[in-house]
Amino acid sequence: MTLLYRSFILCCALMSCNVFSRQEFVLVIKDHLFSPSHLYVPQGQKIKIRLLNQDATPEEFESFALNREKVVLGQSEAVLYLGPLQAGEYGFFGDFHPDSAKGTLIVLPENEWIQRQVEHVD
Amino acid sequence: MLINTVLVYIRELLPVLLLLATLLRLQHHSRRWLWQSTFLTAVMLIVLPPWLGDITQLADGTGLEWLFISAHLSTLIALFILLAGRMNSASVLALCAQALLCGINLLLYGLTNIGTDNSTESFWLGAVLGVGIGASIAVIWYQLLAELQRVSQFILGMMLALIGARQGIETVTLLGQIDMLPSGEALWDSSALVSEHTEVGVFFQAWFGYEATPDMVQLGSWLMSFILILMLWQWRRGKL
Repeated sequence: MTLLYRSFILCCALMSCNVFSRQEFVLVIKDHLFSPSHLYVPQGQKIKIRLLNQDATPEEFESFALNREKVVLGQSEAVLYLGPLQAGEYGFFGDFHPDSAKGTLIVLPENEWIQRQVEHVD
Repeated sequence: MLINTVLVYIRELLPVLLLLATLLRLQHHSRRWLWQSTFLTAVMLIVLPPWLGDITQLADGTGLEWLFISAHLSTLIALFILLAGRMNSASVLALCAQALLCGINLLLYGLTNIGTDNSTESFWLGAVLGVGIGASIAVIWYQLLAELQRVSQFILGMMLALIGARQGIETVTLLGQIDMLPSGEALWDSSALVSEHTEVGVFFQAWFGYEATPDMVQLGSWLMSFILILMLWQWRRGKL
């Protein structure tokens, strides 16, 4: 029983580490637009996207390419977990305002990602 | 706005209506479960909305996913119970769970449009058209099942298995979204053949949980649910 209990605690701890070790990115929804509309993330890593909806009405983040569908209520935030992803472009849109809320997740190969980080530090 | 509303309504209503049509074919001798489901769904959709904001913020903003996972799993379990013989209670559970999913999504969509300038009229017109088209598809589906049933009873088992497989794939997709399951690389990309953007893609998604780019976990859960229900169906037929 003790062994089972310890295994359970260990599993929980590992899952927590897995969740908390992810790199976090922020995507803001305002006036039914995504900001930034082009979000750059690294290839082959698990990432966490914090969706901040600054509009008064709900929005649904939807991406067929990423297999994700996430509702964010008005004036609130939600979290989305992704990856590891292959390099490339993945389109997403706001399901409730598909004409205006559009964006692209750009997954960069490791060298391009490092280069981009260096450029931003400079 | 009008077209978006029609599409959202059709997409959200189709899974419930296809399930309803299949259950009606399966249980055409009794309709009590239908009234019970309608009543229970109405109660849930009256009670739940005030708590929706709190639910979405639960568990680091993943509360709504947990609610949807529960609804999909409830539907899947209900289909197992249905095939084990307790048809009335299982039909109520399955229909209520699917109606709850549909109701919450439509309610959230309604919140974005009702009362805003220039969009309320388009919203209601789109909603009426969406309900009309969805109901028409369900009637055609019901008749199609009736015709196919004459050829073979196995068709109904197949339809139930496809509906069950959809619950399986939706559950693991949501678990992946909240990081409870790993998300792997896509096994294939059939979006060039049937895109999830298209009408056919939307219909396939509502019918059997079509994904153009499924990963191994999604495919595994789809196949497992499908095969389990089909096996139960065959067992039930042997028993009867």
